[in-house]
Amino acid sequence: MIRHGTRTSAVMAERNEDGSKRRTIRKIEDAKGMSITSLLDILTIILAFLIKNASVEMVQKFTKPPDMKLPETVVSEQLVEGGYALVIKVFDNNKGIVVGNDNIAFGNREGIIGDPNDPSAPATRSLWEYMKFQYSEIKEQKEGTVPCILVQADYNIPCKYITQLVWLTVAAQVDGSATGFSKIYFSSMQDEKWKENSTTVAMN
Amino acid sequence: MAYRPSAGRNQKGSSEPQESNLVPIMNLFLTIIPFLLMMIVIGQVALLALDFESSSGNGGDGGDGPGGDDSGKDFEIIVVIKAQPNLGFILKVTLNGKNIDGYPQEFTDFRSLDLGLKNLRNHPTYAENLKSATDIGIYPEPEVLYGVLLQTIDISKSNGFPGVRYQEYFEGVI
Repeated sequence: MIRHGTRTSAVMAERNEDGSKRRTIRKIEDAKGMSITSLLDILTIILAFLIKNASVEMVQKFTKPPDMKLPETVVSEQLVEGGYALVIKVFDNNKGIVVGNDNIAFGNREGIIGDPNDPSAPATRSLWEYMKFQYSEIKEQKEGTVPCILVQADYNIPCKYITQLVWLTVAAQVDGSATGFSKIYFSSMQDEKWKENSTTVAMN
Repeated sequence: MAYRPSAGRNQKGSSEPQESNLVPIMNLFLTIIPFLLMMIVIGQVALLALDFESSSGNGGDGGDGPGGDDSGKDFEIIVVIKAQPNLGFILKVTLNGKNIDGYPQEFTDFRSLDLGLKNLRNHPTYAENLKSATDIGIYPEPEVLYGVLLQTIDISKSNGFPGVRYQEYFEGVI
């Protein structure tokens, strides 16, 4: 439409100046117009992705935190049907322990060593209470949702912190009740050939 | 004799050669490529599952020492991950609480542990019993790195032991 409009006005102007009735066609360069087609392409694609994301809101996608080295594994499993995970990240730097989609910080990893019933371990108690609260929240999201824990920890974290985290999640009790979680997933990077590439067991 | 008008005079019917507009296609690719790249990164993230429900017998208790419901099971297969004095693995197989022939075995790297778990199924005496084994206990010492633990679980699962029990190390487990 833009190209035709430009061409027509150029022909008319020439005819008026000459006063001649002979129809001449002069080649003129088309004016460069903005291509709406390109814009529409982009908008259509963005729209498609937005719709897709909106319709699968309950399906979680997990990404590797940028400043964390995840271990490589061959095996890759899926969340249990209807599973929704509370993500607990354990960093090997000063970020410490970060929980949930809102990335709530629970201090350094030393802080979670202890008993949630012990007043001298407030971080342990806070983390336990937050997990219990999140368990109820996930359960209330939708009927049939299975609350899970997903641990994303750096390769170099000593196991004692992971053991403590697992204990806190599934076994620790306050006033006779546990957090409620029973399914724990560990995040890794899939690599079919990690065994071939490993020479010796990594040491800290 | 009438001649037809020269072709130069009649340009009404001729159309300009159309240039194909590549801009929309380029835009399409430029938009799709970052999304595809992003999806590839997401696809590489894997999950390893541990089930701590008491009825399943998998997973273990994570913090109360030796746990899990082993009643009624004659064979127990465990892997102890040692950090001190040197990092390594001890594969222990017991029948009614006693080590079977050839065990415990020690390994110093992942590949030999992998081989050790494969060979376990071909035990000269108990191959038939061990072929159907699906449960294994993992006991990492506190200073073992999380990456080593996860890769040990990975080796166990990829060798036909989906029922991994993650259990706290204690003196005397070996």
